[in-house]
Amino acid sequence: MEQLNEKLKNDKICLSYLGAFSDEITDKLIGISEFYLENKTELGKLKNKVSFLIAECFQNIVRHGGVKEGSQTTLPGHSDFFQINILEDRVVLSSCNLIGNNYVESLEQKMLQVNSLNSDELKKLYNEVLSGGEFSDKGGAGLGLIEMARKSGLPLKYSFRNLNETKSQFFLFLEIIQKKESVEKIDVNEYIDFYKLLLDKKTLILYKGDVSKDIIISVIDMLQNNFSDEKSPNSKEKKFTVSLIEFLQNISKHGKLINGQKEGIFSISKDDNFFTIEGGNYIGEDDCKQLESSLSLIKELPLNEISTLYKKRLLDDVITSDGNCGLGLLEIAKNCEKNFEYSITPTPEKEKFFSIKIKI
Amino acid sequence: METIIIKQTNETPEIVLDAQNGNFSFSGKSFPENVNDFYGETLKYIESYIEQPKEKTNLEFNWVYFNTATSKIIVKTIMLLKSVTLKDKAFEINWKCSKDDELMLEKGEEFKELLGADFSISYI
Repeated sequence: MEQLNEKLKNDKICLSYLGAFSDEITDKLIGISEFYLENKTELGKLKNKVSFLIAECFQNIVRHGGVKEGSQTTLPGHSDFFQINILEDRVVLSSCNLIGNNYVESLEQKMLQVNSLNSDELKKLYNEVLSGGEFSDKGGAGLGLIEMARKSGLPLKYSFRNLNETKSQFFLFLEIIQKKESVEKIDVNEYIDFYKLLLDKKTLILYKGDVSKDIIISVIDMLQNNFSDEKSPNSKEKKFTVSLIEFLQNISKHGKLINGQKEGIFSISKDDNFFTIEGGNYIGEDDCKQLESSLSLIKELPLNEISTLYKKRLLDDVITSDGNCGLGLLEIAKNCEKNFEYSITPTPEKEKFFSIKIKI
Repeated sequence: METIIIKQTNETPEIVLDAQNGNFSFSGKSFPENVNDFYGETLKYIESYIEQPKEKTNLEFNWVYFNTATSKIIVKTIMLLKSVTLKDKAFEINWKCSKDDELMLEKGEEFKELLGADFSISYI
C-alpha cells in the first residue's frame, strides 16, 4: 500500500472502479467528484464539465461495450473500468470497455477525426450530427465523442488492446483543464499499466485521498452495488462491510491531518474465497504507540479471548466525545478471524505510515 | 411524551420512540460519524420515559449492520430501558434478523448473554 500511495503522491484524489456499471455508480462518482472539486481544490469551475464527462464515459462503457446496465462483462484479462484522478491543475478520467474487433477501425477513424478538429470545427460537426448527419453506427450518433472532445479542452487519448478473435479493449483518457494554455501531461501506458495492476489484484475499488463521511458512505453504496443481485448482503459481505466501515472510520478519526485533510488509501478486492481490504494512512507518534500496542495484543490473543475482551469493552461505559469506543480493531480481528497483517513505517516527514491487509 | 419517528438514511437507522405505548424500535444501518450527535436526543427521550414507564416496555431491533460505536449505544439503550424492571414493570427485547445472517445473529446472542434481559431472537 505504501508503494501505491507513493505512486499516487501527486493525486489529490484517485478513485478507480472495476465492475458492474449502473446509474447509482455514476451518481456516486459524480457526487464524490463534485464535492471535492468544489470544496477542496482550485478546480471548482470544472465541476459541471467533469460531471457531464463522467456521465458520457459511463454511457460509452454501457452503450459501446454492449454491457447491460447493472451487469458487467467478464472476460479473462478484462473488467470494465473507470477512474478519476484529480491532480493539482487538471482532472483525468479514464475508462476501459470491450468493443467488437470489427468496430475498432471505424472507432479509430472517428477518434482521429475528432482529434484533428479545432473547437469551431467540432461545434460545426456537433450541429451537423445533431441535425441528422451520420457519425456513428452504434447509436448515440457519436455525439458523446464529439462532446467529450469539446469539453475536455485537450485531444482525446485512447488505445486499443486486442483480447481475442472477437473482442478488444478500448481505453479512453480525458484530460480536463482549467487554463487554456495547459498542455497534455498524461502517459497513456502508465495509466494502462495501473489498470492492469488493479485487474491482477482483482480490485473492485481503489481510493486515495481525503477520507470523510461522504466518501465512506459513497464507497459502501458502490460496493453493495457490486456485491450481488440480492437485495440484502450475505453474512460474509456484512462482516466485510462492517470491517471496512471500522477501518475507514478509524482513519477518519485517528489519521494525521495533513494539508487540512485526513488522507488515506485503500483498496478492496475480491477473489473466489476472500474479500481483501488493503489500506494505509499517516499517523502521529502518540497514536502510533497506542495502535502498535493494541495490534500486538490482538495478534497475541487467541480468537476466543478476543471475543471475551470485546464483550468486556462493550459493557464499559467508555465512549469519547467524538464517538470513539475502542472496539474497532477487535471487531475487525473477530470478523477476519485474525487473518490480517500490518506494518508501521517511518516517513521522511516524521509521521508514520500505517498499512494493514485484512482478509475476510 | 409524543411519539418520535426518525427516518432512516444511508448511514443511520429508522428509530421509533413511542412512549405512549412503551414501544421502541431501531431498524436499518447505523454508522454515523459521531454516535453521540446522532443518538443524543434518542437517549434523552428514553431517559425521560423511564421516569414514568408503561406497564410493559418493548424494544425491537432489526439491523442490517452497525458499527462498534453503535454497539455501545445499543448497550446503553438496553441498560436504560431495563431499569424499568426495578419499578416492577415488564421489559422485553425482540432482536429480529434473518436466519442466515450470521453476523447479526452473533451480535444478538452477544447482547443477550451480556445484558440478561427478557431477550428473544426471532427470524424474519
